[in-house]
Amino acid sequence: MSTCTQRIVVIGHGMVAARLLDQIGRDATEHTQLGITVLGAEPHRPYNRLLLGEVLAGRTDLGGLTLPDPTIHDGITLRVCRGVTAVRIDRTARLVYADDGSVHPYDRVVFATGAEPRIPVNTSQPQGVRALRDLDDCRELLAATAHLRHVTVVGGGLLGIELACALRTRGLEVALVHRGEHLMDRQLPADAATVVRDQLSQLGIHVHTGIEDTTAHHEQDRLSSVLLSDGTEHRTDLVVASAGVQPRTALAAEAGLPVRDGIVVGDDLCSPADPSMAAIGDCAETADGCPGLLAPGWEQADRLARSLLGQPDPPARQADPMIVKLKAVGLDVLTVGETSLPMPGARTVSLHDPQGGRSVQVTVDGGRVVAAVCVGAPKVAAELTLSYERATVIPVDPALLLVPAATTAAVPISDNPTTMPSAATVCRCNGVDKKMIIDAHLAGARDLAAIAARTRATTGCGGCREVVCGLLEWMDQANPPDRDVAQPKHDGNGTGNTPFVDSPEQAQEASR
Amino acid sequence: MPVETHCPYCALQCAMTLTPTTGGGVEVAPRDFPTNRGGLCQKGWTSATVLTSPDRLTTPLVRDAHGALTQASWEQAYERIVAGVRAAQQAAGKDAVAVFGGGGLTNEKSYTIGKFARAALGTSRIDYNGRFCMSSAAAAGGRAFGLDRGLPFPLADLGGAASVLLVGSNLAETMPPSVQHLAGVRRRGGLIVVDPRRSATAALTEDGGGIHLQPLPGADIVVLLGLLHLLVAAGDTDEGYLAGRVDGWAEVKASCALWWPERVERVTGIPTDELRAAARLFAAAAPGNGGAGAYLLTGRGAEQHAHGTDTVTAAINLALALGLVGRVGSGYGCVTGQGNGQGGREHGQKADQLPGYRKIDDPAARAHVAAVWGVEEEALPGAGLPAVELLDALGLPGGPSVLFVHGANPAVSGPDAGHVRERLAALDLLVVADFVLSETAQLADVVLPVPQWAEEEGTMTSLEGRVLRRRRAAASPPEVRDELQIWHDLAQLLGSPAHFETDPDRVMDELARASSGGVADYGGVAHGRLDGGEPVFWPCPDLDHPGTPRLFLDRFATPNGRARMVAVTPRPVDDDLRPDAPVHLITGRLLQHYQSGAQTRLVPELMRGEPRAFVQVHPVLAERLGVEEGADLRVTSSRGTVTAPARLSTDIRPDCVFVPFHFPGEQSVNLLTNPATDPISGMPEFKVCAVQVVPA
Repeated sequence: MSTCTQRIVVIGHGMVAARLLDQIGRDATEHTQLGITVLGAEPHRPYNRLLLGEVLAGRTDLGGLTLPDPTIHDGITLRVCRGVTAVRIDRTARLVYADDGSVHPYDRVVFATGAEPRIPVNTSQPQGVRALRDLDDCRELLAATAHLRHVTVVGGGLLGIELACALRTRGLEVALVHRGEHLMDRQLPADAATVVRDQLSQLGIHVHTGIEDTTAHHEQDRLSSVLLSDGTEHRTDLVVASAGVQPRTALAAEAGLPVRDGIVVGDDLCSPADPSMAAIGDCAETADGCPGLLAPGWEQADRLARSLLGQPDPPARQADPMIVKLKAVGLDVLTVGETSLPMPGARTVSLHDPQGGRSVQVTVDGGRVVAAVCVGAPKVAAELTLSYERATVIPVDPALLLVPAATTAAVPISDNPTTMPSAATVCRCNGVDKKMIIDAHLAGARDLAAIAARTRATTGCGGCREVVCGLLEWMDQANPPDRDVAQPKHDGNGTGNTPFVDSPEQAQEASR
Repeated sequence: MPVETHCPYCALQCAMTLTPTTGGGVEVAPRDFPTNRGGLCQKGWTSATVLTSPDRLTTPLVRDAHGALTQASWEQAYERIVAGVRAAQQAAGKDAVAVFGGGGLTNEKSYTIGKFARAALGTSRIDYNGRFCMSSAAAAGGRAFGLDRGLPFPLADLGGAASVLLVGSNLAETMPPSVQHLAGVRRRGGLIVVDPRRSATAALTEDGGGIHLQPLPGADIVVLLGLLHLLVAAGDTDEGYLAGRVDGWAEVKASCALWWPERVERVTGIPTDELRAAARLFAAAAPGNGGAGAYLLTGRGAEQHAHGTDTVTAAINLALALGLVGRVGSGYGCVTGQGNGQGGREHGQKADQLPGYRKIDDPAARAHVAAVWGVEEEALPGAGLPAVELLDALGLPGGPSVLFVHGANPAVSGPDAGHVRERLAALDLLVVADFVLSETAQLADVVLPVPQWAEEEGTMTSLEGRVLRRRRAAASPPEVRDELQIWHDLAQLLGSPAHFETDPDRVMDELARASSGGVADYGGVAHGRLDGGEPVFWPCPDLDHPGTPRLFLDRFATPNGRARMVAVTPRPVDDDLRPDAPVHLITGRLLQHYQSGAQTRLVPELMRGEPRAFVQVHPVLAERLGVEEGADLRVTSSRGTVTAPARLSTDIRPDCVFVPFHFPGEQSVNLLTNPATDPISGMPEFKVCAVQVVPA
């Protein structure tokens, strides 16, 4: 390694740190000389934290969560220390001290320490009160669910609902407790939240909203119930909190860096107090605050990678697309854009269908979707996501956005011999329409072979056989070869209605 | 005397019987065969029309002093060619002359054109239109299995499958009789089609046939990673098979951890429940999960992208993860497009390959082929340039100033076709051999009339790797000359040390020797053997070998016998949406036409069906644009503009338009397409670019 190698210490080894390492490997050039040390508190290889709820729901297993190794590059020496926590930073000596006694000199430090869960539960003892944030939490919860029966989830935001649904699919009795007036109150309007609540109730989850305080009650060392501020008491074996997170900032604060909710960083993702200190992901506080979503964290990782490689800044960063999508069995919730703010000049259309378990509200402005809430309409949700994020064309009448595009304009195609239009294609392979079949019949082609010889219908993929047989049967009835002779029976399921015609002319008329 | 042969068009190579008629033409009748089962589409039925078309070429043409193409004798044409080749090569070396071949040429011609380029012209600059067709699948298949054969199993094997997953293949439109092989899987509800349009093939999933996933164009790779993610999540992968037969699984498994369904939905537009349903259906069909068998097939929709090789690799990874490849009743394959798209890519038309799929930079391969050709190994050039780069270099300093085109029409079929035409116009000498005055021939200095399919003998290798006999049923017009004869004559005039056979039977014997021991081993293929009716699938190393209908049953063709998985990362579409180009353009094919349409546009019956280009547009977009059915739309990309009438349809996503590419001039959609190429295969991004659409 040459002496000009830049030493980078990355503190934290979650999804955003993994993205940073991979992106550095991808963007590196022949001039790149980096020595990177990663200190990860967890003993595991980095994994997809977003899918922990899916593990709990039994839809994936822990083995499938491991993230790919970062892209390697000759100019980068990467040293990963798992199960090692950074405990102190000496900014004068430029050293990071870790809990295993190791000391790491640096030119740049990247905080990717993430956030820790808030547990807003009054409790005198820790037993039975916990959160789901990391792999070990998930393992323990999985083990616990095997012998527990009653669980209370505290927090009715996106993750809390996912968690409640996941636990419910494991057959547990689940209560969901939320501080706000309605579920997902940061994203959903009240009417949409009602639909979500109804859906959860149908899944057998007991929902309590407007709960200021939750108090855990233990009998001896065992959690036995929770008392809610509305006076209800729930028998419970376990409380799992999913009530937001707190950026992990202690290390940065001790090092003397400015910290508000998160570690304060500028547009360059570096601390205003020390340009050698950067922060990305859940622990960082940019001008946008701490969004707590993965996509902005990844975007920060990509930008910081370029900056650490000394490459010119990418084009000015766009505002993060705000897309929140719930992952749960039997419940589909999407919100995009700022759904709570009024937008002057914008137009909002909505479809509220509580009995159908559906609520869709879309705001359009300047010919594009700027915000949407979509409950219980998965196809519409998928279309709105693309429309919002990619600014694609929307219907002149925004009301068409409320139902799937395919259903608004679909014209059922009839292969009933009577009702199908005369110009309808019967045999695609050979471009034969209904009129050509009828003409062939009138000219004496009375069976499949004769029709095929005359029109080539059925001689490609053969998929039109049944329709041609149906047409023949229908025409035979209208125009029998000989009234005294029994009708020839064609193979296939001729479903033709009896046409009320008995001459070729009338048969032609009927075909128009 | 009726003659048994196969259709001139696509890679399905439907069997047909030709009966000569008194007018010098032939009458076409379908013939029962395992692939087409007695079926023919409209193109096949009407194929004989081109034989007697008044538009076919019957004499050589040479551009005269006034710039007009005028009738000439063969001697005059040859003289012009030889003088041009000599002048160019004296001025700028052997590589001043280039050759552009085609995937419709017989095996004998595909082989001889490569030999002509390297042994007679001495140029490295040869490539072909298969680069626009099969190259991504070939690169990915070669990398994973050590061998690239479109379908490594007979097509009829699909009949017993519980599920068939088609990614970007519209075979109901491009090779209609093949749909018969999907009847069983549709009956079982197991057909899964991934296509941004509700194509004729996607429509086969309706009424209980299966599932249509309709992603954004260019997002197939994300769909495939999302499906693999779900297989891993559900524990549906075949770990025994993976451990026993595959390298690279750990990396690939980790690579799909990042593609959970909600993220896939955000990128592709496919609702999570539909993706999950497709994953369940496909996984359950896999033999490792107790299913009756599953096949995954890719087509041009997945492949014709600047990252098409990665998309095909993702498809192969999925098939390997389920243990499908090299198992009877399951598998992965790509649906080859052109008539001899398979054989055409095996015997030396590719810039970096010698006959038998040998690598041109492999000393042993060079020595073997040089010995068969009777030339010094040192005299063989090295690797040339893939098609887009080759066309790009025409007429530029350091680039070729002379080009031979055989069996291709790049002025219509090349990406950014306006640019291709400019490059062709910049040549000192353009020689085009064709049987019609194609748009490329119209730009030529010398046009050589050659026989059509029913007038020649030879072999074609179909999409399933079976070598088929093409037979003569009619005589060519008197002044028409076979390419084998042309190359023989020119080689002699240019003083080539190598001898060129003119009899296709003897060329096949030479091809057999040249390919012997190679990856695509035709050592045991001979006209006489095929004439006996025996089905021969390559590799077939000697005359006693039965051929290989099903590949990889015991081992893969890699050095260690194990399949190689390669982790891939999705990349954005190269020319993605932007405010002044907010709509995706998709290009593709129509049932009535073949490739650039040079042949099918001469058939009145086909032109009655589809006479011109159109813009397929969703009613939502049409209303936004304020246009009705039939109104002209102007479609503009950063490269050009096309005007064509609107055809309203809910079969397309509202954020996309579709234009077929078979039409020339102002209707040529390739004026718009993106020439950005795949870094591995050289495939251009035909299938998607960003356009502005306005009423004309």
